[in-house]
Amino acid sequence: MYGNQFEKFGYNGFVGCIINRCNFDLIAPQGLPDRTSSTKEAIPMPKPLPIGIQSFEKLITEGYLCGPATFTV
Amino acid sequence: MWTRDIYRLITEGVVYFLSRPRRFGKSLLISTLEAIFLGKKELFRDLWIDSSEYHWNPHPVIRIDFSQFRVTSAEDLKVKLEERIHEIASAAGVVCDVGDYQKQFRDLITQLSANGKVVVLVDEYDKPIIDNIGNVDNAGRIRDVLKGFYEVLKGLDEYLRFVFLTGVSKFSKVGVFSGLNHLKDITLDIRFGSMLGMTQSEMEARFAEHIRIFSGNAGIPVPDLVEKIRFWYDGFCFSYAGVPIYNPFSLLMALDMQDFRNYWFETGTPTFLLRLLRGQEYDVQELENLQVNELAFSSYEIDRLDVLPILVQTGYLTIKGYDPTRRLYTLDYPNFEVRESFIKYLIDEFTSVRKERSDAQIWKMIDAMKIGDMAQFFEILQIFFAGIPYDIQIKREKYYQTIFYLIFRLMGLQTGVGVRTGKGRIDAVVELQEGIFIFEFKITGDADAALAQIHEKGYARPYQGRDAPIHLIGAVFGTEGQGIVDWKAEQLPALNEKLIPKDTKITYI
Repeated sequence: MYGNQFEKFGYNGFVGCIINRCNFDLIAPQGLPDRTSSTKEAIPMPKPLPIGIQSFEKLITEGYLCGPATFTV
Repeated sequence: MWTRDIYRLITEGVVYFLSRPRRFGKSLLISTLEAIFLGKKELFRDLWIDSSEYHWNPHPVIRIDFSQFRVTSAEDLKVKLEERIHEIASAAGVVCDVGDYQKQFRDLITQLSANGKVVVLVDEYDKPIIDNIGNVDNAGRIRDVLKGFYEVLKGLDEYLRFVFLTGVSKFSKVGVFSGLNHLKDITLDIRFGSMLGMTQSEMEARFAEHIRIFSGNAGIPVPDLVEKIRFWYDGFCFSYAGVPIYNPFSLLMALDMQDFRNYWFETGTPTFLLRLLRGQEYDVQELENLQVNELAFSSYEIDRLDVLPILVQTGYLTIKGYDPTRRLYTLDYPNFEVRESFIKYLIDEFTSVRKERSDAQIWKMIDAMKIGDMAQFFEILQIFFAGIPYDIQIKREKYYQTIFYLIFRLMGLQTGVGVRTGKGRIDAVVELQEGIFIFEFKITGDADAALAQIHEKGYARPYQGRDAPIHLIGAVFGTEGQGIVDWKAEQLPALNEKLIPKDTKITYI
């Protein structure tokens, strides 16, 4: 559940970059050295989806409503 | 979910009821209403309601979520209600522990109203009843406790700012909500038809990034992927002129997992509904493109459960069309996910083939047809009819027809090949690249009579212009529960072959 992993880090301020959907260690925050291998194609990570979140406050405070991928307006 | 819809809700009425299938965002709506009524304006910055004229004055909020209650009796429910009342009272610094649950609830509202008119939000109002629906007497006693609970609201209009009740099912107003004089049921209200869930345009706009990445990973062009997502998960509709709505749970899961599965369906097994369908001898063939009047959306009593309104309210059927002149609705499964899953579960309920195995058996039947091995085909088909209890509750003929329909319907859904079933005309036609298979099944008589009917009625005629052999198959079900007892196949040549029957064979099972 990579979405949860993003949630743990907090999405805002991070640029997700992942070469293996199952390998969470490769999620690199913006500004840090890119740890993805240059020999493998990096697949950009989409914004995490608010699956199962039933609290409006949680949606807001965890950043699900920020940015272009706004879930609710 | 749009805050504009919520604004309309909270400014135009006071007491509402909304029914939606599970996992449609009802709890999130309740949570959003709570945040608004607690005056948490900062959470709504840049959203529509933030720029509206809403005043944001905080109100005392009583939120009761029955999904947190696990009750097995009316007494149990009373205890749970009192506990929740005490929790809310304690948090608000008031005391209301005198008398029964009704008096305590009344005291809670009147005391909280010292800080402004009170908001009551009830989530999953029907769960205590649903959890005990197998025991009608017990469910009835639980309903009476709930009825008493809501009756408290009746005489407290002057203390109440807003009341919102939500759940999956719609039990009779007389049964549960008789105390609520001004209850406005917005379940089928066109203005709120897309308040929960997502429309096609919202889906494509909000999740463009996810779709693009999914498309890249799956190797499916974006337009094709969007169409596939729509085919699988769109199609719920909650008013006569409403737009199709995506179930948000399945949609988000598919975008997250980047895979197509039956996410929503698997969050709840409709065992009770399937038994009800079987018990009420409902013709499951009618569930597709079913025309009904508005009574199909009515509420029901605990001791007189009508399967059709329950199917609609739980989301297994939805509105697909409306004829305003005749005031007739067309109901159908909302999308591929629900249709395929429901038919698998029906096969599981009506036959001895478990839902985990039905796909494999269907594919074996297709493989047998591809090589023209009808003996193998019937051997597998017979598995579906084996082990059917002798004392089945509906007439055997109807039962066989139902199973037959379900098998061929799933065949069409699973394999993507053209499969047509019809009532009163051809029983089934399966169109494969290797040939066209026309089936006629009989309960009495013999396979020759079934084949003769295919010839007499000219069932093969529409297919004879095609460059594929046509297989005519007649079969007979035994009247003593043996399944298929006789079948016979005949092959008509393809367009360029001589018109002679070949490979005619008779096998008695």
